[in-house]
Amino acid sequence: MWFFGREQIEIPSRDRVEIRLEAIGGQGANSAGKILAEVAILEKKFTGNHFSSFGSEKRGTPVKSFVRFSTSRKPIRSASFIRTPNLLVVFHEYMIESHPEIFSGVGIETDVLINSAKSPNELLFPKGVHPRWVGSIDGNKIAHGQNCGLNSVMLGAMIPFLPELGKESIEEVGGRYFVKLSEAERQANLSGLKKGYQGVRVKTALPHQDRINLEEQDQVRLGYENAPFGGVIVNPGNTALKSHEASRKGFAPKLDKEVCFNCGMCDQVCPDFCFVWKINPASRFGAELVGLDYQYCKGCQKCIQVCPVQALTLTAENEITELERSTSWLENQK
Amino acid sequence: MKTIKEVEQVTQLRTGNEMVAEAARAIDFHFMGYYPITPSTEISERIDAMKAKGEIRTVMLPADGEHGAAGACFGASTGGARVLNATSANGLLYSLEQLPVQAGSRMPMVLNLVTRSVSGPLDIRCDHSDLMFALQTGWIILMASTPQAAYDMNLIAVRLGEHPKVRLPVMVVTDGFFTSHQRQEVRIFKNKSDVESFIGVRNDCYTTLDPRKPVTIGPYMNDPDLINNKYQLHQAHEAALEAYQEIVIEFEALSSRAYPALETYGAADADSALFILNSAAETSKEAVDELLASGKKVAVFKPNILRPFPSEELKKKTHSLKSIVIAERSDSPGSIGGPISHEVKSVLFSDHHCDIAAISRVFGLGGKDFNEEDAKSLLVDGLKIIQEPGAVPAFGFFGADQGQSKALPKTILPALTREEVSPGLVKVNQKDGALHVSIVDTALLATRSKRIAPGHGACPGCGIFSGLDQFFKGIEGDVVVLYHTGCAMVVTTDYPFSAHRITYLHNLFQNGAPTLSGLVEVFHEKKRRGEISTSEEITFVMITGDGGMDIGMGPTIGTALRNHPMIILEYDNQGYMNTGGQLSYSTPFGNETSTSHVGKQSVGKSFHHKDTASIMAATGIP
Repeated sequence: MWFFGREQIEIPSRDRVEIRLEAIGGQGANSAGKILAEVAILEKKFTGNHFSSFGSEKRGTPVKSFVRFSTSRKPIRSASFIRTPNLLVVFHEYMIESHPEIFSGVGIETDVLINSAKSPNELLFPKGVHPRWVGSIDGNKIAHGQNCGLNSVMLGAMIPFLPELGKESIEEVGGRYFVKLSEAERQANLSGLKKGYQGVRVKTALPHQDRINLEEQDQVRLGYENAPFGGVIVNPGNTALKSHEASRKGFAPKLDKEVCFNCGMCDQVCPDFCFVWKINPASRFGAELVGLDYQYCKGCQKCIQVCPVQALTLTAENEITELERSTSWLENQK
Repeated sequence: MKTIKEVEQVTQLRTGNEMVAEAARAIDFHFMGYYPITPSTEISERIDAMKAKGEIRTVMLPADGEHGAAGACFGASTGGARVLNATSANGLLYSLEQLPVQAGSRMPMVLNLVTRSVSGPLDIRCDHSDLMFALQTGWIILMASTPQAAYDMNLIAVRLGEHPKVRLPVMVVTDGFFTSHQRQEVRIFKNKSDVESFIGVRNDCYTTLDPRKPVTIGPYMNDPDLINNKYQLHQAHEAALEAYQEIVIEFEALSSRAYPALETYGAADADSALFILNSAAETSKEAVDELLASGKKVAVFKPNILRPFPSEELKKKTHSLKSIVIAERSDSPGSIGGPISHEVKSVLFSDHHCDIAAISRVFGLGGKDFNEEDAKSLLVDGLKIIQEPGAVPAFGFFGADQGQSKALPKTILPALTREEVSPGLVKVNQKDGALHVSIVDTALLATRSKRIAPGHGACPGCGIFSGLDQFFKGIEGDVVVLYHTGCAMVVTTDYPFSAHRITYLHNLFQNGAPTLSGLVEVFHEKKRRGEISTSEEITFVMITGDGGMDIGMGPTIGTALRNHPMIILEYDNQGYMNTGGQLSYSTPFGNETSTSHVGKQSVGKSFHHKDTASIMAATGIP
């Protein structure tokens, strides 16, 4: 039994545990899964397996990592994805809205852990998602403060949900895993792991809790009846519907239009085509920077480096106003 | 017969690819010729790292493409060497021509095929469409359904291929990602000497490296002799099945792991069986457990060897069956069944008394997930047709989706207009035989409509897109692009999305330049025939990287020599970056990459940076 604040979390003993980690490429979900599998299989001598949904995913796109184990050493043979997890861990709060499909298969025996500054009570889930226990951990803040990987913090926060593995074993295997790092980094990650464990807040999800009413996606699901044959895409430029805000790590460029003299250098270097321009004969060079569309900005900061007058500065997300965020590249194409 | 004792083994947590590399560590091959391709790349990366540390002696040859890799392996094997290769999907297909050369010359070697869907459209995940092309090559094909089997089968492959009555190359097949990247508890032989004594010493009847015994390998052989040569190949496969069965018995005594030619799991007197390959068979075992518990007599049939095909074992094990479901991660379009379903049916049909109902299903193409519930549903279909013949179709795709509606998603951006693509910001004048280019400031250039839309999935700070945009800003008028496989292709065309606002075409590394040559020529021919207005002007641009300029160098030179009006833009990354930073021919001398490690025995890239510009200049392009 584990006590966290006023809530006590009690997980019944399980014969088989399935864990699904949902993350953004580069957050270390694969390594976290590997550590869990090492604890389960090599330390605890359970049967199990681990793999991740790799592909051509680049940094900043969603990835999944799966861990299964059986405490009674029943052979685990399945090489398929985990569809009904016992524990779902979400490494980026933003994914709740941007990728609601990450909640698929969440049922009354699923515990959910989210990396979020919010308390479990404040977290909103898509309609129809009713987990058993909900945990939240301010992973970004801890990782930033400890200067360690987010995955170390998340591993620590998972401890209460995985009594089969135990705190000591996770810390020990994690510690062994961090040996490859420098001593300072090793200590940082160990302390991140501890803080993750201490900082997690849990709550039994209440059935009447508010739900996010996600708008019906405008996207039509393509299949063999309606997809153009040959795999042809007949919707030029439709990536403009995508959002990559989850790629940023808490900071974004902020534009000071008073300082900007519309030189266009930012547009030369921006890999994500965030800058929106219009022709303005009154402007010094005949063009005016309207603003930037944060939907596409991945926070690379190239524009900040190249700006000759420091009109663009690196700013915490919450200091960028709604008005500044309202510039839409797509709207400006019409 | 000597008694064989179980050898000492160590337990680890390993993936399929890691286990192939561990087997290579124990075998210490003389030579590995390879070319990186997802998901098999990790094998050569790991072996290269072992080499750099001095843990193995294997010569690593990073070829200029899979075709070259297969040729290098063939050459090495004629010298009596133990030879290794690893590839996937289009890599296998690109080397396909070389595979019958290897088998027809009876030169043993080991090729690890980490299965992946064959392009196009390009898909990097697992299915068996690549493997099916290998069935006719004359190679022995061993199936490794788990990370453990990936290790074991590599040891068995060396022994089997070099067997004096066999003398054939062997392919070891693991499922891309599902097995290659899945971590499981595994056991590895602790002592290298145990591996050595199991695989024995290579003995060759013919070698190209003994001048005192000159031989001619690869003669010009027409009728009436070739059919006899092929009959020898057939006999070798017959001998291989016998040898396999002896070898796996010995291997089981050493390791406690059994690999019967045809593994059956479930009821010994099963009413219905699911015949299914590799990792999906492992998943299906969990469904069998569940159905057995509810009193259903079902089984999974999983061949551990696919060539030679274990026909007699299949006949023996079907005695109790009333029905069989053959499910495959590949289709043979137009033949009403995947290739293996036809083989299974042909074995059943060869028995005149057979009245087993057989149905076939194509599933899991392109890596589509297949779990216990899916396996259960296939097994239940098998039971249904016993009760009621024709209850389910004899052939079908399992898991194909018809889509949500007949309508297509509405287009979100209009096509760029002529005015938008030609804003007149760049002007070119010809004067005194020279071209004078004038261009406006960066600010006005920024107002120009981009040919690539935002929202692509490149890494933060990617240099490709600002580079491409700056390049495209300099071109007035319509553009048609062709991209080779690479990051720029992958992140802009993630189906059903496309970042391209202009017409885009993809082809594989070898062939982008010829593909665009064909298109350019047809554009001009259609103008000459009046099928396209003579006022139409299109600039054709090919975007490529290090891979396209290595595997595709020959066809690119051919294209340049023919001097078609088009632009080829290579971004020289000094490595294969889309696949994680392997050595390319434009990697500078001495650089460390994931396939040119620096260590005790390696100095990084061991040969010089390719001067692509000079090569292209030598073609005499204007």
